[in-house]
Amino acid sequence: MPVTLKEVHEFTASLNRKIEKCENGEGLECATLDAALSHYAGICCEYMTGVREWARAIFSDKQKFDGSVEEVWKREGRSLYTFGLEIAQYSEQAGVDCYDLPGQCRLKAALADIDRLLRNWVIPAPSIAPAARIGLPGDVIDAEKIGSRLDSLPPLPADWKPSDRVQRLIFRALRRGV
Amino acid sequence: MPQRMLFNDAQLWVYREADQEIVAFGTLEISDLYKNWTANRLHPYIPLLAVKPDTQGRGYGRSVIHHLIGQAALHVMSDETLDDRLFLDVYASSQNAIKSYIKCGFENLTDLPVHDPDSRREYFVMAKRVRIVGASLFDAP
Repeated sequence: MPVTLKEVHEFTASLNRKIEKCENGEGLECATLDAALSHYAGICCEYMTGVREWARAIFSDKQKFDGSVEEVWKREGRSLYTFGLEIAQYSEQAGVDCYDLPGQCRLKAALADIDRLLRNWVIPAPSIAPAARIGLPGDVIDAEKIGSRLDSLPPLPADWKPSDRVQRLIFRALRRGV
Repeated sequence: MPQRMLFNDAQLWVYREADQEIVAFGTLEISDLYKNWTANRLHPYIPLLAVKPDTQGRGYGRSVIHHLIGQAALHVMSDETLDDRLFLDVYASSQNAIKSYIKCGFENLTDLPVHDPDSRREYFVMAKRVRIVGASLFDAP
């Protein structure tokens, strides 16, 4: 999990190496336009996973907030977004529909995630509510009793249905295997 | 809550009366908070739930809880990798909320509350199974 400045630098450098590798046409990952689009989408997803893990580590008070680390994450996000957008626009100009180029859809979805993250950025801070920081510590409670209580929780009754109308529709569809 | 929505993909619902007055909100996320108790599997979790103080006692809280149980059950039905226990934590001082959770089928996991030395507050952790007996995604309708 990349959380310290050194780790985050290494993590973003590894993302950039993957981009360069694709640009240089090394390996088979970017042999076609669609493969290249999927490859960049994957890099964007890796970025999102990394930044979320870092923020969650701060939220759960496992890591102290460091503004310089935050700046690295934001800079990398902006760079990935700008570059990814250029690639997505290039593939659109190639005149191939998103339907025929699944990598394009994946890249657009990944870019939308990064865009949402950067536009709504919140500076991570430790949770005010204690549970997110402490949870259910096994060393101060009766672990055996909790395990047994969790195991004995009864399932929902066989005739259970959600009370909400929209949920009922989804519920029926799921039960039909749709 | 903004952190949870941005970094944890928490979902938020705002509940309104027929006249559009906001009466409550509820949240749900797929979390690893209690993974020590779920064999490292992700599980549904209710981070926050609140009812507008001047509308308390009208059953809104229980309606919200049932809605979140429904949502958690759909998550568990559609993703077999999830643990089927829905967790929440509640301040020990929120006795009315604890009663509502118990009425909705949640059970306390500890006899005594967990103490937070930083905030000096105590809370209970509660859980409810949200899988239907014998049900899986591939059951006959």
